[in-house]
Amino acid sequence: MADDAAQVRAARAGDRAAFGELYQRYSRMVHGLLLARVPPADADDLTQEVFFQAWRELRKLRDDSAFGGWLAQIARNRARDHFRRARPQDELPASLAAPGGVSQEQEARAALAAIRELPEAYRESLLLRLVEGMTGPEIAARTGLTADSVRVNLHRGMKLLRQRLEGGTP
Amino acid sequence: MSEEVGRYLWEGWGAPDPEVARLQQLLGRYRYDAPLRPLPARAPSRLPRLVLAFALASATLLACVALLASLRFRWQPGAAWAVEAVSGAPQLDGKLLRESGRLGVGQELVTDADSRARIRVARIGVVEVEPNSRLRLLATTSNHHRIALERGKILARTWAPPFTFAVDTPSAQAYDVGCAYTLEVDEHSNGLLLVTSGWVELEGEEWETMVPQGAAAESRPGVGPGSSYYQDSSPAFQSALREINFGPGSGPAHQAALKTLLQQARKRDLITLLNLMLRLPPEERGQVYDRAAQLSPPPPQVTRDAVVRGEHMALEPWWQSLHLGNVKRWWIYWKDALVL
Repeated sequence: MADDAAQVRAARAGDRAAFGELYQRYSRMVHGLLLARVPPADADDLTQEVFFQAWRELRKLRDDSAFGGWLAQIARNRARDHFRRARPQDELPASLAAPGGVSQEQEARAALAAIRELPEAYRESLLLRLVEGMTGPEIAARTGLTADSVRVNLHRGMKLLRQRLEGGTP
Repeated sequence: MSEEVGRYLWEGWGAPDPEVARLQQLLGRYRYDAPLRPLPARAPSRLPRLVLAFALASATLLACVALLASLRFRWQPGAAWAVEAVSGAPQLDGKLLRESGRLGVGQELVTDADSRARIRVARIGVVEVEPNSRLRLLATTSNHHRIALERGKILARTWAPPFTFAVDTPSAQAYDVGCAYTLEVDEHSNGLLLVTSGWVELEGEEWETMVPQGAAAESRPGVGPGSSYYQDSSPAFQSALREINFGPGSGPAHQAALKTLLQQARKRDLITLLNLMLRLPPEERGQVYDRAAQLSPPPPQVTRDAVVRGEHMALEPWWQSLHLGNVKRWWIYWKDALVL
């Protein structure tokens, strides 16, 4: 994106405000990609760490207009590292019910868990749409995926998710 | 899923899908809204003097080239194009074209079964108009020239930066990427593109396909362009590709076509597989990737995961490894300029 390229150039030269604008533009994307892989409690801190890493390594980015795809890859790698290091105690099971019925929070946790069991491509696109509130065209523009891929991911992912939430076995 | 509901999932407006809206409301609690914490210190990088000197010299050279190019490509907006009758009696804006004339914006050129014509596309190229064709000049400025081919066949040869010259057809738009090609529209408004030099991009509302030298691509109204293919591929391969490109996109016929296509594919058909890969759903991308990798192992930076995820740039190194010519280096087709 031409707009990104100008901000990236400025940020590389040390302009923190320009990097702040990139953060505004991409923080939800990074958070969504992390949420697809790590517990919600860790996703916020990791989002900040991804941007710190991008800030430090900006000079390694060869194509300024490919900032979104580059950042997405940093986020995926970061989540992978985190997963390797994390102890397996971070999340409560989604099915844990409170006395007196299922609370909204538990329902949200169950929905999140169901999404995270979907194939990676569907998982990312659905989280960016349903959690971060990005539209399909925005997801494509930010992540560097083609609009066609995102469209397929959203529609097929949503179909699978419905089946799983209804208790089906796709 | 209705179109309105599908639109809500895609664009966030229109009739809300109740399940999507409920999930958004439920999952909204996880949405990220934190400010950026103070950035760590970072020493700004310094370019060595030699690099700066080289950059300065390059910039000067580029400025000179740009100046020369702007003189060649400059064209007064709306200025009419020269047209000449090659044989028979073509009609220019409803009147008989005897030897030569000018085709203005909005005007139409029509050839019958016995006539042909030649059009000069500003200063950047030539379009040969074959018999039984009808086309119209839509726009002409220094950096954008556009015609509409309603039916018939044209042979276009241009030498200009990518996307300077475009041809609209009822099923797709052909964007010149510094090239020569023939483009045909039949009586059902189906399109057929054959590229003889450089690259052409065919675009529809949903799909786009890059067609390299020696390859072809078809297009259909309501669908747009299909994936590109070499004409010497087997008839079974081409028929399967047609089913995948223009069929319903799922079901037994689609599955059978995909199986045939993968069985029939040769190493040379890699362009079709790469072209097709990102058009298919993730579960089929993997199958196409595996067959393509079997025919010609991808460069190490191409990963199956990134392709299955549908990353836009995931296949770029693979395309480069085919040595089909670089789309961005349009000037290397300079020989096309010699015949203008």
